[in-house]
Amino acid sequence: MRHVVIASHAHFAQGIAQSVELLAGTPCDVRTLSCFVDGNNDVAVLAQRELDAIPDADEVVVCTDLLGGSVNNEFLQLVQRRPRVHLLTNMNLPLLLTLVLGLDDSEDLAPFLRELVSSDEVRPAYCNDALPGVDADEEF
Amino acid sequence: MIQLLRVDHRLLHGQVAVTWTSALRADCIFIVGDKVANDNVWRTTLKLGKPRGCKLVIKDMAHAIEAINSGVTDKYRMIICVQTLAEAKQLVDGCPQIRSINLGNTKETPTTREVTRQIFLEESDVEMLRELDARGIELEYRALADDSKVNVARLL
Repeated sequence: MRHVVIASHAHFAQGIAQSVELLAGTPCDVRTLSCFVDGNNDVAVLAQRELDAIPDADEVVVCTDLLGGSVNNEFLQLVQRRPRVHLLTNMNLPLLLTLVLGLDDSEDLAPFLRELVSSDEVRPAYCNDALPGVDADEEF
Repeated sequence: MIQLLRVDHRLLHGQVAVTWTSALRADCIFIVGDKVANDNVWRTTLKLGKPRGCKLVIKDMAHAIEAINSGVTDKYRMIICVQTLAEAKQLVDGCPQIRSINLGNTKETPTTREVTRQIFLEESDVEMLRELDARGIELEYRALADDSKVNVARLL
């Protein structure tokens, strides 16, 4: 079984998880961890607790908000200690949607995650510049 | 092959572009309506947001019925989006192969009543649904593809 943990500074994790649920429902197990709010200050302990709640044999994809931030730093240590944990950072909504919808499609997670983070779909886009490039009407 | 005819006043938006397209492995989204077909700004907006790997065709009602009946759409795994139940009924009336309508989102107005969290019906809609139900057309409410189908006729 595969699990997703979404972790952030403040309530971003909880909020973006709600957005994922609104758009995609709940196709897999998604846990959230909102740090430095509601007394959640010891990120090392909390991160460990999240992973401890998941059986060792299961795969986990952890998504955090910011490379170099303390939330990601804590999980980065855990990735080095525990197998079958994959860590993505600089998360956004298209990334999480593609992740939860495609999580069970591939046998091997690593190539799926590599392709996911490098896809154009998950990059921020400047819509004004894209407007002139909108194609002519399509036909059947 | 038509995978879904969805009534959704927002037409193509997050739930449809992401979840439905993915769940049905659709390769074509067909947006039908006289209003949207004649609105350049709206058409551009929809085209910019279309899901990757999906064709997006926008037509008015008359041309849409013609296209579906001609067979040119048969090779696609297609999702048809219309804004209103009246438009869905026009498609059902014009295209005998369409036997099912998915109600996704309809707009709340002062004269509608709430049937589900996302479905608001005018009295004229209720009449239309009763007629379609009597003709054996499946009328199902689902916001997302994985939700279980709710028979709308039972909620009237």
